Amino acid sequence: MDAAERALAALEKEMMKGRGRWVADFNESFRAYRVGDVTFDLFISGNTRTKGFLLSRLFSFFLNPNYEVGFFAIDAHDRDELNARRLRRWILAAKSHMAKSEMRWAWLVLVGQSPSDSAKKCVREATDKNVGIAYLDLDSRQVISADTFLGRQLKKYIKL
Amino acid sequence: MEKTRSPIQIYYLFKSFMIMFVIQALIVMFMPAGLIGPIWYQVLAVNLTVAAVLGWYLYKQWYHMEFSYSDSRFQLKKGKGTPASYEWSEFSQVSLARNEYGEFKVRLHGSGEPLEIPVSKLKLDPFEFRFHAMDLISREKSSSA
Repeated sequence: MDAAERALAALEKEMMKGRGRWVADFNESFRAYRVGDVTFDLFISGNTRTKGFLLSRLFSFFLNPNYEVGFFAIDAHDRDELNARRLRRWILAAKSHMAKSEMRWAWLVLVGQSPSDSAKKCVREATDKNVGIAYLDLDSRQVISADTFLGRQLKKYIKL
Repeated sequence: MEKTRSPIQIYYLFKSFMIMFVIQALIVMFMPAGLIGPIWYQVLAVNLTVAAVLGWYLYKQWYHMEFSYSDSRFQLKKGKGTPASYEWSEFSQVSLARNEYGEFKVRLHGSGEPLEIPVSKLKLDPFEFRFHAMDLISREKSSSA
């Protein structure tokens, strides 16, 4: 298992069993999930109305919105250098799936190693309000996120 | 080569035991205290023994799961019900689903309703087994193509 695959496995566990559950009930995970001509290495669907036992269920029912949400991850290191065009393609693929599944928002994580300055700039400048984007650098163990609300939130939940 | 998984599910075994014990306890409660009072130790011992025997029987009838699989097909049996057999090639996509109790299921998507393999109840590693199922499905697909 290579570093990217290990990171994807860790992200999947974190979202389904760990900190991700504070944000949404991420309850179904797919690997090698194809959306149009893009294959996401990981896709997890969820709902912001978390389930639990009695009090937490009641609390969730009255206070949490009932939104379908998604978590997409792709191994960006495997492919050519990340650029704005490629990132746009992934965002559009994620958004087309979001529209089909009536998702209100989604997170998109790019897993890679030592991104170039232009790649970092692409991620930081991604301004889509409904898709929070972050780049997980496996070498430095740092997370570069888009400067949007969802992007900044995502950064908190994908620490390796 | 066919592999079989049929672990004892402690929670469901305990549940079966408790169902039987509570039924007997209710029967004893409605018996005259003068009759039960002098021999309540013996009554308790009989209740526990009968609950253990009938609980085991109930568990086997209702809850015990048996899952066997080979490279081409698999079979799932719950309790004394009829085993359901499927070919891996009937499915095209695999997902890993978690329910509100934290139990994982490997969900197999085909042309009809998705089929769920209760991996947590079968004490299989859900993440590992999901990859194994994906591998078996893709192998079957490529061999049939």
